[in-house]
Amino acid sequence: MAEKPQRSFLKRAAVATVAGGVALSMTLADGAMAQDGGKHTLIVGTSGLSNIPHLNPLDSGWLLQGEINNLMYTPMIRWSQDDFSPAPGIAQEWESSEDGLTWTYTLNPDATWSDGEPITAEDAKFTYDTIRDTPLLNSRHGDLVNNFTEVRAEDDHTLVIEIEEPSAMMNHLKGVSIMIMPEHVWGELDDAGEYAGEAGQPTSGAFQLSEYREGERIVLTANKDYWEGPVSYDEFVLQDYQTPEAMVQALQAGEVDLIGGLNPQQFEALEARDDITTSTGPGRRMQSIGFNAGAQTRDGEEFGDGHPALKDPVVRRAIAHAIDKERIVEVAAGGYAVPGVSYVPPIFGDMSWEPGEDELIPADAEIGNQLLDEAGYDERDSAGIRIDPESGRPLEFRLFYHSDRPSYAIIQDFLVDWVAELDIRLNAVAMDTTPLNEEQEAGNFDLAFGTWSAGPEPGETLAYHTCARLPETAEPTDLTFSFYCDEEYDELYEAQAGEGDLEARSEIIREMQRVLYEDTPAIQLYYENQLEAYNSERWGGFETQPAAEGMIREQQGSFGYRSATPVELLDENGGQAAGSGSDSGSATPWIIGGLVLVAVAGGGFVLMQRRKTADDRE
Amino acid sequence: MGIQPTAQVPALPDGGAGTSGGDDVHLPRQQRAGSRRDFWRFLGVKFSGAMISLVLVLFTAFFIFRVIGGDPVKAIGGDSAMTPEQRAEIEERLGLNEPMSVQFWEYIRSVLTLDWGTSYVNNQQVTDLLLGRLPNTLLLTGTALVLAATVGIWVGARAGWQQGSRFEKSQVGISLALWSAPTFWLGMIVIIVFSVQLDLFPVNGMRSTRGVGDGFWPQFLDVAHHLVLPALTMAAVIYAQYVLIMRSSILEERGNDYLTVAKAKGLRDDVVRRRHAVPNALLPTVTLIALQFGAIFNGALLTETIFSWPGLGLLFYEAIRVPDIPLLQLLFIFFAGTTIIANMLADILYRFLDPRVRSSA
Repeated sequence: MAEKPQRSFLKRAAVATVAGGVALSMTLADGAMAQDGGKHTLIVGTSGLSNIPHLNPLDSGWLLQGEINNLMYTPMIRWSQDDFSPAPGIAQEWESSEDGLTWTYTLNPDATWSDGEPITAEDAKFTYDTIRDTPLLNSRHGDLVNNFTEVRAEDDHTLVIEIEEPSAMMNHLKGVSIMIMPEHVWGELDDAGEYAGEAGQPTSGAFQLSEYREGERIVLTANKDYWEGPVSYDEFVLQDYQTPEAMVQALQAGEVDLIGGLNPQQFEALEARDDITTSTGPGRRMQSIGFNAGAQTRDGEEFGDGHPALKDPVVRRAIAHAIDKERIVEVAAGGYAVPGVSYVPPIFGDMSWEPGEDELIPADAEIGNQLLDEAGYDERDSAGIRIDPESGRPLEFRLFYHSDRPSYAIIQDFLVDWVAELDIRLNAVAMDTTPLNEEQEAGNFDLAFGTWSAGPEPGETLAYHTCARLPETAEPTDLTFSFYCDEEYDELYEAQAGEGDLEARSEIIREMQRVLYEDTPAIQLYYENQLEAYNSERWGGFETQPAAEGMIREQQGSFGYRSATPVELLDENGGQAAGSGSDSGSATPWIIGGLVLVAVAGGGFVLMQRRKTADDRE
Repeated sequence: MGIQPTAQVPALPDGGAGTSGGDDVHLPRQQRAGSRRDFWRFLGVKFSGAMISLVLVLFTAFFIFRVIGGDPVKAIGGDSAMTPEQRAEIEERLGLNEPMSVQFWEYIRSVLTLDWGTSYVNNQQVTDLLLGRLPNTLLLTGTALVLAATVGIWVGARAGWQQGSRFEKSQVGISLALWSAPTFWLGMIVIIVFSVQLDLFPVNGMRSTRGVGDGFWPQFLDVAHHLVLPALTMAAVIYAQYVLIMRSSILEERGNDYLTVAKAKGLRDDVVRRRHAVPNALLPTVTLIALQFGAIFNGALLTETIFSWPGLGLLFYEAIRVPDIPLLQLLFIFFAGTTIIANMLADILYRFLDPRVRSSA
């Protein structure tokens, strides 16, 4: 009989726990809303935060790291919001001497660190000297600073750099890749290469670091006295998510405000919601098919097992004729992409090349067949496959694609069919990324899918096609694309690297792309659009880069984040009111959820009660 | 192998701790001294067995992550263009250009000195990374295990007692269905229903994205709020083991005379079950708990990944993408080591709990 009180205690405890859980949920959510009311925090959802090794702005190789650097620091020279051309940052203007060997940069006299100290030419000199003398930093930026013979501060706002060889890079000083560091703080560091980001450090940008939880979250606090004008909110949070799905759910649940990197299905699902606004614009990431154009060392020693016929540009070009890029954009990217041409995407304005009518490789298998016939590939084996007259082997190639990329699986199907029209056989092979990379780097492939994200400095990407990037010995390498090597191209590369005049340089850069297009070491399938979405009940005013129909996230700058404005302020300023701005809509699911739980708990209670009486009857 | 990332694989007692044993439970007096000697021999055997496994694990840890391939230099260089100088610098810094034999001796040295080295990615001591994430994992897996064990035992005992009832059939069905559900799938469904649709719990992570203030209680409640879904998901997947084991051992007890006697005394059915049948039927379940104790440390790779719960499972998942070899080595040895030790302790514990094992050892 002593059992009874204990049992009903258990039951009461169970009901109390359920009720408590519901109450807890509600209180916490209310708390979060109230908290948010006082202070404006822009929360950006991202993936890949765990990739980031540290927050040293001088040793930054990840796009995401670059985004954070751009929020905290102002570069000497930025990439413009319109077309990624060099634009003033800390340096207001710059000019070179006649011979292109002396460059003078005039710094903005209003520029200050967040602790109030002025940003001077001494800081800039200190930074470049530090990069030159720190092995880790030098390995990343040696291409710029190892060409400096002297860096001197003429006065507080005038920096003069003498260089050994004329260099196109002096026009942008590597843009947002190198930030100027405060000498009065960094001068104290023993090893600048080991700086990993520290909360409260003075910065030259719109924010400073206040919390860094590795792989989880980065919190930045707005500099209220930022010399270029503060942002209209208080805090910026970058929150990591393991999967894109989780990020989408978090946006729907109101836990984050802005996300990017969506796939077309997610994008379209979010488009249908009233509280969320989607944004899309051409991006920098391209998808391509690379050929093994003949793996070899710098001395010409061949290695790997690539098909010899692919050394012939005619075969590669013929295959390019078989591919309908417009169709691929439709089927593999849901229409959210731009058909590809060369390694510099069209968003980079003047640096990007478009083929003229006589240069275009149209999607037409007829022309491909004609090219092959004319070049002597006119014999066929018993299966009807063309034969390479030199090696006697049929034109049968392996096409490697990454098994974890659904879009590649779709594209390869089309490619196999299209290329078959040339009487060339493609054998598609799905592989994990790691072994695929290993085979490709060792030259053990014929065709392989690949992806690349180009930066606004085209030289960095175009260098991957120079003969200097071939390996010294027959070892695997990821420093070359397609093992391509061409003398004419190399000469152009040298010429652009030393060209200080922007216009003259862009002309050479375009010519290099033309050579690549014609030689076809790779086929650029398409440039992906950036697919983004944000909570428009809370935020608006996002500006893009390029300014017209560009991207908000993954910019080479911080225009998107800096222009973000809480909806309340947008309304006050007479800006476009986005959404209702109230959270009343979200109360309904709360009530339903609460009712369901209470009903379940109550039902359980009644059942237990009934069983108990049944037991007692026994 | 020691790793049980999701702890959903049933950890069954190994051969040494089987329930079969001698029939005679009561040892004659003169055998007591001998049994003490037996006990020490038993301990020695179990301990040396564990040590041998551990040494094998140490060797495996070196090779396995070098065999799976992958290029840490790419992960460290970032997703932008890389120059030859940069690649050379990173290889040099990580010691990747050393021959395998040199790397192996470096590894042996690090094992012997317990200096596990620094992460490839962020230069931090890998032991610090492990210790930093361990409490989060213990919180999640510990909560899930306690939930699974209490609910599982309770449901299992009732199901076994009421053999053939609707309750038994439905509970066994439900627990088996949940056991067969892939964790990542169940996790996503749970998130969509309870976070996105009903808006009752956060989507993932361990703390609110918008912050809750600095006080202890707001922080505590915030973490508790985030803990609900991952802990429930994990518990839902593993509690079937407890249900089934408890149910079958109650079934074994049901026909015994002492229960008939208890009923004859006039005790209520419930009391007979709780006071007499359950304590006797608990033995196999206790072993299961002891064995799963090792799994607590192993984290829950899938649950942690789905819910972005910053524990050891997620750390392992992130490290393997690089691959961050020093970190992987330490985690692998830690996971395997805790499992081996937990198994050894379970064996020993079992000897104390069940006299039949003592006599047969």
